[in-house]
Amino acid sequence: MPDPQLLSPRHALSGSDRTLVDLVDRVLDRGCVIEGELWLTVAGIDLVYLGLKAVLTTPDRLLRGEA
Amino acid sequence: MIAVGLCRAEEAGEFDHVQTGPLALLWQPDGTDTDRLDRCLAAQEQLGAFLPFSPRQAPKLAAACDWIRPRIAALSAALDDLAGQGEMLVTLQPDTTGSGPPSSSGRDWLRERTLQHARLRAMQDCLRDLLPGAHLLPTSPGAPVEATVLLPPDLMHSHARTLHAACPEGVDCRVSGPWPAFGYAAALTARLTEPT
Repeated sequence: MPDPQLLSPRHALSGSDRTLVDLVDRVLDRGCVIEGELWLTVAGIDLVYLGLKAVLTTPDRLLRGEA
Repeated sequence: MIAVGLCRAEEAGEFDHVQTGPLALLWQPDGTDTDRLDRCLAAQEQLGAFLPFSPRQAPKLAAACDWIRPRIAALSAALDDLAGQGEMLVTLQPDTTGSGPPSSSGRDWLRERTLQHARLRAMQDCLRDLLPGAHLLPTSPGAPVEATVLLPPDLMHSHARTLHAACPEGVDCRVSGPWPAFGYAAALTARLTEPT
């Protein structure tokens, strides 16, 4: 009998709103986004916020993502 | 022909394969990523130990054979590690319903961002406490937190119950498995391919 608290992979894939191979790619941990955030604060007052995001991946993967 | 993964030669049975020493390299005719994922799931269900390749980045059969030959001992040891185990995938997703309209000012946006950071840290701490040894996948504030851990399938049910019971309020917990050991295999192949 299926366990409602543990989805089988096939059930998880059928109910996913992402494509199934994208889900696997998340698990594969290939390519990552490095994100940094910086708050400049004076006397407890946030003055400046700086957000940075860098994508670390292979050119091949990047081009496939654009296709 | 595309390689889909490795198992022990004596277990390959009905799967299309070529033998390389004590290992069997499973393959299938050229097909889609989905076909290869389906074959990986079948292998995980039927074999005692299975080391998958990424369905999207699976190598051609000849290239896979060349890669395996000098690494047979390490790959055999990996199959020993994987025997009787699969990967459990845990996803924690903050419930954002009722969080109100999108922020209308920079200050509101920063306030929401700070809350997202705090929620992310809390969910990651929660997973580390509940699943020691789990591998947390890269994520960012506002996105789901995902982790994988190798476990025998029987233990996954009790872990799933524990995770659901301990899941913080306002967080949706989703647990699935046993998956082929994609995360383990990715880390292993990266390690074995590193230049020495």
